[in-house]
Amino acid sequence: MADSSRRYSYLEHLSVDRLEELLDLAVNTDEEEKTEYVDAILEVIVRKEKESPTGRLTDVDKAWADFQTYYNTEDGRGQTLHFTEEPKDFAETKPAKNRTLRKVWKTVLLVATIAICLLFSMVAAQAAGFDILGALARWTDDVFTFGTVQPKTIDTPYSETANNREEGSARRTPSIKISEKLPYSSFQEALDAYSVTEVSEPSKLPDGYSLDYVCALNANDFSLDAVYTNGEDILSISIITHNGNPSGQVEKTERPPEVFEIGNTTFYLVENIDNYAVIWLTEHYECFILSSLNVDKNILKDMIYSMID
Amino acid sequence: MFHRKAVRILVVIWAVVLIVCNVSASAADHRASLKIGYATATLSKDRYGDLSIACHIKANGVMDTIGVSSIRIERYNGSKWIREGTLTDNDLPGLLTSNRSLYDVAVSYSPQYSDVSYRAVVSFYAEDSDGVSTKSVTTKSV
Repeated sequence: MADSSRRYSYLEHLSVDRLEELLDLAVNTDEEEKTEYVDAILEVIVRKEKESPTGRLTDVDKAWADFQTYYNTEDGRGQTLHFTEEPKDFAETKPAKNRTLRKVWKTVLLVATIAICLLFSMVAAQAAGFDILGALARWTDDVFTFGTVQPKTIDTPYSETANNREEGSARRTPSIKISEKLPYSSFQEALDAYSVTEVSEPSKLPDGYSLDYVCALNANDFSLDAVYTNGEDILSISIITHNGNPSGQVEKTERPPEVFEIGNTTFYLVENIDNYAVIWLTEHYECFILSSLNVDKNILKDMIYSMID
Repeated sequence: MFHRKAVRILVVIWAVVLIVCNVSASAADHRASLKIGYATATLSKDRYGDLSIACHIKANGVMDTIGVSSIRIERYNGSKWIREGTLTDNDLPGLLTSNRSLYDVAVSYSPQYSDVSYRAVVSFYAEDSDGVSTKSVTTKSV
């Protein structure tokens, strides 16, 4: 031991950096006296670090205390000791589960806020007179309308009809106006008589059809109907003033409407159980054609084209 | 990171809109009608303050009876709609007719109050040898 102290006394004169270099070289040699040599170097490094600490030597007690405080906890259970990114301030690190929940909640709040803003914008536009919703044709599996979809139609077999008519009385005496048949030999005569220019009589009709009658109702609303027949089936053309609020309920099956355009007008052709219906809007009128399924759809369209040309 | 968040938000909004639209459509709970092809009712007030209810019904064939089986006049009392009166063909002969494929009627009614909102619930009716179809339409309020 005394011999080794004397032998390696020159190490006292070397810097810690130089001693570390010698240590690196020493551990990789196969010399017999390597162990003694390495011990000597380490002894000198420790003595020099204790005299002038550079941080090379860890405070064991402090390291143990840090481990107990920051690693050996419930939150740290299952975590690795080695991090792939810069070490964080462990006092501010929250559990991963809470971070995820807070992110989801923030996203939901943001989406809800945007949705509410959009909804209120639409309501405000509606209140300001812009009929955003009403400008759209809409339909369900059973009803087409330019207005608001109304409750269902109820079909009751005759055997089950008992008292389908409501009993009641009004306190005040109302008055009634009913549509009257008109003495016109053509639909166009009636349209001209009432100064209707947005719709014309069809110049083409399905085979066998001719005008049966024309009727009109002239009240706060104006309506004009032309009924054609081939002796068995009915084909009717109706126009009703909509005053900016079309509300007709057109019955249909679940098939979506067929949409076609003629000029600037959009036509919707829907199929019901026993009939076709074609609906469109002009500036003042809600227009409606009802025909039997026996009439070919393309012939029906030809008839409509002849009303526009 | 921002792109993924924006896409996630848009997908959630689209899902919400789809759900809302489907709920609105399905709330109607409909079935296509065998007899009634078209029905509409509108409500307006004339210069005297009387209500005018215009009703139009078109059937897919000639009906034994067609028209309006009842009109329920409702007024708003500040918190809900209450019935003020009901009109039937007993009160108003002419609400229903026979052997027609379409029918249009307009009813004039003097309301009890002049400064409240009114609406009408119109029940349409079409009957032939197979049975009866009825459809209820609620007008906008005036």
